[in-house]
Amino acid sequence: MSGARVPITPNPPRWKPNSNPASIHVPGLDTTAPVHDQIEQIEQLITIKLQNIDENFSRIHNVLANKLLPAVKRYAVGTEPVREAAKFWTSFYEQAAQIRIPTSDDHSTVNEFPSEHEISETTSEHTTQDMTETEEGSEVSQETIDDHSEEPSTSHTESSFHPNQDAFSSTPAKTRVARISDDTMRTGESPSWSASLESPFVRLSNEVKNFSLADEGPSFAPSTAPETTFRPDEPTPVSKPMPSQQSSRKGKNTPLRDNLLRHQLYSATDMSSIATTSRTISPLKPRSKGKTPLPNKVNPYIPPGTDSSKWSGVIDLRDPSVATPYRSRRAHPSSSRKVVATPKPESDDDDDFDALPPGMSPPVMMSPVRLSKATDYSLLAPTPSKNASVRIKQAILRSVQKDHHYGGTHSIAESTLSTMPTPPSFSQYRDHGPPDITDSLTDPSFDSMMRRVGLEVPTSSAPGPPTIGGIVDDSAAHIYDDLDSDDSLDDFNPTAHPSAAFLMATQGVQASDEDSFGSSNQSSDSLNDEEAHLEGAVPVHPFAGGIEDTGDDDSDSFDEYQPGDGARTETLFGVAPGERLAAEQRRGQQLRMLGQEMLDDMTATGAYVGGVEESPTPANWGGSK
Amino acid sequence: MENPHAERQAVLLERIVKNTSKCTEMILELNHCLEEILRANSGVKTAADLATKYRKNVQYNLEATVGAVAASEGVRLEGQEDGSGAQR
Repeated sequence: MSGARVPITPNPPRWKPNSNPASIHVPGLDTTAPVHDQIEQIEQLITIKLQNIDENFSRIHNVLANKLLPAVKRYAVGTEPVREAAKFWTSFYEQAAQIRIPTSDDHSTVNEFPSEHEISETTSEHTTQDMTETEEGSEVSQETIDDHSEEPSTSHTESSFHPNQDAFSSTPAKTRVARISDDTMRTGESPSWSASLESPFVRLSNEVKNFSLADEGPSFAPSTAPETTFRPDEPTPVSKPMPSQQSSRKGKNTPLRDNLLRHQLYSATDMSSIATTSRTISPLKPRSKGKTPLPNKVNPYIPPGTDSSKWSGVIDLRDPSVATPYRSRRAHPSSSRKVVATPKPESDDDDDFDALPPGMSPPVMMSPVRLSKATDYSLLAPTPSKNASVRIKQAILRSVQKDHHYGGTHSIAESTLSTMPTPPSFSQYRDHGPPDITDSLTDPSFDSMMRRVGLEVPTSSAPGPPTIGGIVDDSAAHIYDDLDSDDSLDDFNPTAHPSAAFLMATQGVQASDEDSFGSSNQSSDSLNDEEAHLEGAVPVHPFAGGIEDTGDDDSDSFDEYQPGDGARTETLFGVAPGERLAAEQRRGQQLRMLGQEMLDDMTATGAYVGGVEESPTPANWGGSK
Repeated sequence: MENPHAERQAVLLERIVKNTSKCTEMILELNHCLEEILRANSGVKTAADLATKYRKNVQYNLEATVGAVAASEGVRLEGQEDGSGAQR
């Protein structure tokens, strides 16, 4: 080839500035001519020279663009089959020797590491190049790395192919990585630029790791914190009705109990200090609030007994119990009393829960107080997006189911009552309630009386007040409200959340109960309001009116209803389960007999009853501890 | 005083600069292409190295075996020769 081409003429000697201008010899210049002519001639010579240069450059460009580049590309294409063949042979030898040979193909995976390794091994010159190139851009650095990596890979291949060095090369990438540190240690320079080289992939991977860790961290930490905080705070309704709830209930920590306590705490918190609420956090508030149902701190899905840090984070949403973590608590608080007094109620609850229609969430009364606080709560403890999404899902599902369940009933109730949907605050209804509903209430009160008589006998000394007619109930309810705020509220923590229907039914009884229970101040407000509402606007589901808008709210409302069940359970407190069931049946029948509004409410309550027993708490909860 | 030569030279210089920049671009592109080709061909080099290594190993083993065989045969031959020599 070279022979055919024109031999390249050797470069003329380098021009060197002449110290003596007089000695400068300009070729082709007529020294004999006059000075001006000489200058003119020199100018022309310069121009010609420039033209030559220009011409040469243009030729260079032409050659590059029209000959070299196409030739190179053709070469690239032409070597394609060779590369394919090489691949085959490489793999062939690899398999024959049972080794893995790092190649340039591995760049994508091995890229960073080999580059570093390479660089560390290579001379300082290489390192400097890498440095500059890396600065230019990641892409450029990549290329350079790749180029450099070729050499190391080949070196590795050589060594690797050697039988003795199989181990060395067998795991190219990892070994390299492992060695990188050593290499960097050896070459002082490497660390400084190594970081820059690593940056694209290594940095990303590190970030991902960190991110994952960070993500896990917060989720777990909060969950653990709340639980720990919870227990001390958790008041056992039975043992201590005190609002402070700081009392030591730790002594009995059965899982179920914890759940119950938590639930109760929640209810208690409504009335009592906001601070406690913030810590313990009621799921309801966030839900009612909006999309952020759960505070990070409280992880509803973690069974009380289990270590939150060990929580896998996987929730089986198919499990209805899991689906409503908070409700479970709610339901339990009511049952907590039962548990303490009579072990049976738990089993009953479970059965009832089964009785509930599968997706049906137990209805729960929302206390206006809670709503107001809910906002605070939500602000205090924004729920993690995870939980929020889960909640939203559940809320949607529930809202749909609820629509089936409630939509008809409520509408009917409203129509019959001709009452507008009740706003969240029930206090308003107190005034209105009595006049409108007195008649309707009489029946429920009567029912409640009946129930109570059967159920409450052991605990409540006087079912008498409930026996009074509906009108009496109204008065009693008012009184009750007043009383509740002071004395009885604490007792009713569980009852604080009872379903509207239940409350309606039990209003009269509650007044009587107040005295007997009269321990918890916390729930008093909510109860009063609810009761007032029940009396006044009973037919309208408190939440249906106020909170219906958001699916979350609905779910909350359901939760609230569970407490209602709890209230019922309270009434049952100490009563044999059989009696309670009978009472329930009685109540249900009577309710149906009553006006539609009552029937609706009762149905809702019935659902709740089922819900209560259905306790959403994961199966683990009961058994875990 | 206006120097026509200077003007012309300036134009020429401009052209030269333009051409040089073009050439630089072209060279860079060429380099890029070559780098890619080299990278792509690294596999070939690997394969070639492997083949070379393999051939060397084969050569070495062949020689070793041949040597061993030759040695053993040589011994045998020597023995035969000795025997034959003795016979003769």
